[in-house]
Amino acid sequence: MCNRLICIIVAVAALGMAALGCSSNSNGISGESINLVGSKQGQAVGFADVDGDGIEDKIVGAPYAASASATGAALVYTGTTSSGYSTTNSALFRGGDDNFGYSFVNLGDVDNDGKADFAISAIHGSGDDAGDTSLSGSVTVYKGGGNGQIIKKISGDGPMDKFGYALAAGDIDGNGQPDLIVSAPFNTNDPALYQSGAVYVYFAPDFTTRVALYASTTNKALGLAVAAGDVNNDGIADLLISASGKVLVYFGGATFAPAINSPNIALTSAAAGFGKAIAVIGDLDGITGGEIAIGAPNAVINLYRDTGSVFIVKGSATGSVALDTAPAALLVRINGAGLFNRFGSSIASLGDVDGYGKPDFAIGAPMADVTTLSGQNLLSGKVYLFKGEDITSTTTIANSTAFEGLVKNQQFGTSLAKSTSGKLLIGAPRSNMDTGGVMMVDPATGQAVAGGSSGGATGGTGDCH
Amino acid sequence: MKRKVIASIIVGMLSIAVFGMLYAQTYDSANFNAHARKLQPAPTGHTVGKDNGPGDGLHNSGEDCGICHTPNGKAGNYVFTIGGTIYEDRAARRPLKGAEVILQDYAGNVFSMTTNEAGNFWTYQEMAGNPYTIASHSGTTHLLFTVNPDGTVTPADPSDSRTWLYKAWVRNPDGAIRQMVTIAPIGGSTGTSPRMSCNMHHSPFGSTGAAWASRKNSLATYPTTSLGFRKHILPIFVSKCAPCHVPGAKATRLVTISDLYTSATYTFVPLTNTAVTSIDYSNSMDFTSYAGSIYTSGSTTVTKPGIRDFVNTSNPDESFVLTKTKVQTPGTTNHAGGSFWTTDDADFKAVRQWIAEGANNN
Repeated sequence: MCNRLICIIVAVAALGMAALGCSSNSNGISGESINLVGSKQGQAVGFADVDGDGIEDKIVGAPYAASASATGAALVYTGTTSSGYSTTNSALFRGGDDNFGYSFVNLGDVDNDGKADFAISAIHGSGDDAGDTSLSGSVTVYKGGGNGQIIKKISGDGPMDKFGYALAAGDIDGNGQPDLIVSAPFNTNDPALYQSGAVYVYFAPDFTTRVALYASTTNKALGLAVAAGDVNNDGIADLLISASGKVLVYFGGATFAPAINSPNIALTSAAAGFGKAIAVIGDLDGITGGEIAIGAPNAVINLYRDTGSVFIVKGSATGSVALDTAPAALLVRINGAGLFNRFGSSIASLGDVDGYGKPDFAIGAPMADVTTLSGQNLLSGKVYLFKGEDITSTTTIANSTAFEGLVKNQQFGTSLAKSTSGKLLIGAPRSNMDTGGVMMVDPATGQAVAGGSSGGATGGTGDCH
Repeated sequence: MKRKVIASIIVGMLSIAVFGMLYAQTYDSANFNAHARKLQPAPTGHTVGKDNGPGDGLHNSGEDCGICHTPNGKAGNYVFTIGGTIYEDRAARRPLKGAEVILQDYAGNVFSMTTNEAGNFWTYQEMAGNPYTIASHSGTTHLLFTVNPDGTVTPADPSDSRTWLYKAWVRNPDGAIRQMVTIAPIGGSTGTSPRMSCNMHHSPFGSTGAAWASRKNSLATYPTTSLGFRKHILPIFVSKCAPCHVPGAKATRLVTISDLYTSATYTFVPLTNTAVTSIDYSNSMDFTSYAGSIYTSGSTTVTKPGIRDFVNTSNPDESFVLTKTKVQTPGTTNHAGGSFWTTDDADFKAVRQWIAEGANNN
């Protein structure tokens, strides 16, 4: 069942920067040249209607793009009516902060204008206000259709917290407006818990009010992954965060005041890297509640390190659940294919793309090798598509369709994002000496579609946007 | 209380200095330990980059090279004895090309590698190890060799790469040296043990942050006056002074057999005394905070003074935090963590100005 797919990379020789105009809210750096060699395009990927033409645009994070004033960029490829995207990036978001473009999230419509808003992080960015901490990391919330108009910029508590390492969105307080979830896995809130992490929920629409969850003696290493989704089927998004050997679930509600040591559900496993990717993928078992997919990309399988594993947990789970004992709450554990594949590094919930009534999902194994006619492409990477109707307690990786990277060391599958039309965008940030690129496939047909882009090795003149 | 803390630090520093004068004049296998080698000048006279490995090595910067480049690994035909990535700063905002990584092993052999466009360096060169090794991690001692009931030791298997230790330095292209405080373990060239790379811990998302060499300023710009502690100063200290000067217990991960002897008399100390199997490379300072920190774990309490305790607002130029870490004659330093800046660097000027303005917690 493992079909080989030849994906299309549309190589772009140079970046043409079609100016969209600078507004008073512009945060770009006009007239500055950038270099995309080593920029890791595809570290983050996503979609949003940036220019307000009613067509979703493709956004590619390049957090190590170099210029004289800062490191990092987000490249925007304009959506077209022919359901493709421009082959050159039409805009360039620059936060003025270092490693801008590290993470991306489509928030949904925050300001009730009918267009989805979005956020981009710069993990070594700084706050703009006098009292803000610099070098803590920053997250900028952009207005959908606003051509780069900023709704809010927020920053972390301490220098090098890596605030914005992971982002997620969901209506946690149930007020009808999606909230922003930000992790800072290197935050120190207590001398005894140095670099033990924090996770924050910033509430829409102004993102000024927040709830913070700081590491405790019981729950450390917070925030390598965060997610939101309706686990308990109450119509309100729930918060899911990774901790050391755990995934903690806090049910959303009108009064959302979680205590770090009192999650509604605590899922645990000894699998290495457990919780580095989390997604709420919807109902697979027909029982009330949205199933949770949890990646453990460093799991040792049959003595092979970093093979990786993914746990599919029933949304009906309650309390503390030790997943390694195969409890009833565990729908299935799917292991990676081999040594150092890091299966489970990324997970994307796709919805029901094939129309069989069950949600489908994709899992990245960015260190997987790809066999070619000429030999092995080491660390090329693979993405495995699982159809919801195929998921049972005996499902294995053989029950999936594999999409494969094309060249060695490109780490295809590092990031994943679904478009509203159901296409899957796959990031390969290590392509071509870390220049990076993305590929796009149609999960419904198992075919490559136009929309990939490797980006050029050198940038043109940066556009303010 | 504050005076006591400062006094104890001064005494500690004097002890280290005296010890350095007495015992670190020569560098041979007899004093191949973290204490004796803390201020060792970088070796000179070798050809820079003489041990660079073959290939372009432009992939997977920041990753643990040892996972693949190890016997039976995915790149098992290209086994590294050492590999890693050097960045401009500890945050790893950009890789650094042209840095030199220098190693000296137990036998005195010097190895030199230079970083490429991705910041990567690596070598296949065989290296001599010191098989008499004990590891201590977070206060727990793990024996890597057989210890006999009478206190004598049986050497570990020399082919076990975990026992192969090196003193390491990183030279910035401008000549400034940053050195590893500890004697570090690095993989060997024979045997089947898992190899290690610097990136296991010194990486963009590792526990200690990236390995760095550049004098890159922590922030792009600073105002000339009215500097804020959180806005301008704390980022400099966290970027340059951590991971060493952090809250809580901070001990070397590995020491050698010679660390089992008291530094003053070379009297053998039983292995149960874990205090001498490691050194506190924070030197009891917490530079991640203004006022320092109190760390309590079980019955252990660690109190550390903070940044404010090492400034001189009456004479900013004499502030310890500035004088200790200035660039010295190339190849030398009086700071075990190496040199950070010259008086012309923006970071230095910003800290000095903040001190001159009263070193406020603003």
